[in-house]
Amino acid sequence: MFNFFYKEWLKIKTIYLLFLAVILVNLIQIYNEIASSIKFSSSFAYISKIISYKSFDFNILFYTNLFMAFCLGLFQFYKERDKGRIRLHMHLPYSYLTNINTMVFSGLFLIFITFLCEFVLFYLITSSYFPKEIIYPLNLKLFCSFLNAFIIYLATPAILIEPNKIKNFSSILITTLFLIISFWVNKGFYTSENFFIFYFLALIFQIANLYLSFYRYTKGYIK
Amino acid sequence: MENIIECKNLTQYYGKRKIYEDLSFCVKKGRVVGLLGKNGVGKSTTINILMGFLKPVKGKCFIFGQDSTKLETKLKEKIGLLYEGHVQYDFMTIEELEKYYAKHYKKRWKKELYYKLVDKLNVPYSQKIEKLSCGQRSQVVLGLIFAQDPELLILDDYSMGLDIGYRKLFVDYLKKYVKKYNKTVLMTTHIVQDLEDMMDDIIILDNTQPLLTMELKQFKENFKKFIILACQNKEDIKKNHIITNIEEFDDELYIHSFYKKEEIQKELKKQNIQYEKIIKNDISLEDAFLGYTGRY
Repeated sequence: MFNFFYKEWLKIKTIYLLFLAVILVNLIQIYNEIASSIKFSSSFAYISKIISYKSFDFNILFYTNLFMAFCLGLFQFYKERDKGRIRLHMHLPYSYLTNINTMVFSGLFLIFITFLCEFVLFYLITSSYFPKEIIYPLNLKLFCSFLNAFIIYLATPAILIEPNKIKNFSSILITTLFLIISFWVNKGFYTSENFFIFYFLALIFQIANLYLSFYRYTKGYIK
Repeated sequence: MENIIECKNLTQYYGKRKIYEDLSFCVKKGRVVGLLGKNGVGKSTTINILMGFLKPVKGKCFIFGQDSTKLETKLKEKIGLLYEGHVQYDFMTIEELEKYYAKHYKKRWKKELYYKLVDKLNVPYSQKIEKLSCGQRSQVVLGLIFAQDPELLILDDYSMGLDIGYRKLFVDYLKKYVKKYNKTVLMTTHIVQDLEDMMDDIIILDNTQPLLTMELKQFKENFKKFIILACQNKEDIKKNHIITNIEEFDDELYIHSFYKKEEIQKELKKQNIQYEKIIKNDISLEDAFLGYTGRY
C-alpha cells in the first residue's frame, strides 16, 4: 500500500506542500484576528458580537480546503489521463477495482490527514478563546467544508477520466449544483441538518460516478 | 502450437468512425509477430483491446485462453507491456521506478536485467525519467519489461521518437532477449525493415485490403512487384485476388501480387489490358509492405 501511496505522493507533493503552507498561514491569520480583536475590545464584547451578528469569517480557509481538493485531483489524474499513463497503473498485477481504489484512496487519505491536522489546530485556536456555543457551530462549519472537499476530490478524476462529453458535462453540472445548494443551505452561522442528508446523496452519486467513469474509460478513445 | 493470443471477430468504432470490422488473428507460443499497418488503421486500438483497456463494439480477445476484459492478476504478471511513446512515470527517478515495480512483481522481478541495460546509459540512478532523452527512456522501459520476466511481450510502436541508433539498440537487445528466453512477442510498428530478421509472422492491417496474416518468410518470397511498361488502358485494370494492388508513380505502373508473372499476364489479358512488357522487380520488405497497403 505504501508503494502505491508513494507514487501518488511524488505526483502531488509540490502542490500539496504549497496548500499546506496556505492552510497554515490561514490558521495563523485566524488566530491573529481573534487575538487582536479580543485585545482591541474585550473577550466578552467580541464573543457577544459573534453571537448577536451570528457571523465569524473564516471563508478563506473554507475555500482553500475546496480548492486544495480540486488541485490534488487535478494533479493526480490529469497527466495520467493526458499521457495515457493510467494504463500503466491498470496493468499492475491486481484487479481493476483494486488498482482504481489505490489511486483514489491515496488522494483521499492525504486530504483526510490534512483535514484532521487542520481541524485539531482550528479547535485549539477557537477553544482557547470561545465558549462551547461558538466552538461547536464553527467546527461543524469547518467539518462541512471538509465534506464538500471530498465531493470535489471525487468529482475531479471522474470528470477527467470520463470519455463521454455529455456525461462529463452532466457531472460538472451536478457537482456545481451540489456546491451551490450546499453553500445556500449552510449560509447561516449554524449548519442545517438537511445538509447531511443532501450530502449523503451527493456522496453516493460521486462515488458511483467515479467508478462508472473508470468503467466507461474502457469504452472511449484511449490515447 | 498453443495460441497465446486469440482475437475473434473484433469490430471497433470510435463514434461513427469505423476502425475495423471482423478482425481475427492469433499469436502462437514462441513466435514474434509484427502487427503492421499505416497510421490510424487500429494497431494501438488492438493493443488496448487486448489489454482490456478498451471494450470492442463486437468480438473477443483471449490471452492465455482468458477473456482479455477479465484478466486475472496472475496473468497480468506474465504480460510485459510497452506503450506507444515509451510512456512511463516520468516524475520518478531511474531507481525509484525499479523499486516501485519490484514491489509489485515480487518473485518474478529480475533487478539485474534492468540495471544491465540502464548501466549502459551512463546516467546516475537519481536521474528523473523526464530528464532522459527519448532513446534513453526507451532503454529504461525495455529494462523494466525484461526485469518483469514476462512470458508475452506486447510492444506498441517501440520506434516512436527513436533515432536509428536507439532503434537498432532496442531491436538488438530485444532480439537477444526473446531468443534466449523463448518469449512470445506481439509488436506494432511502421518501420518494418528494422524487424526483418526478427519477426516470424506478420499481420497487416489496412483500410483498403483484407487482413493479411502470414509467415514473414512466405510473404517475402511470394509477394512481388511487377512493372508494366507502356500500358495503354491502365485505368481498366481492376484489383482482384490476383492483382492485390495497383500503383502509379511518375508515369510508371506497378502491380503487386502474390501470383507468378504468367498468372498476372493471363489476368491482364482477361481484363483486355494492352501493354508492351511486364517486368518482375525485386523489392525490400518495406516496399512489399507499401505495395500491399499502398502509399496513401
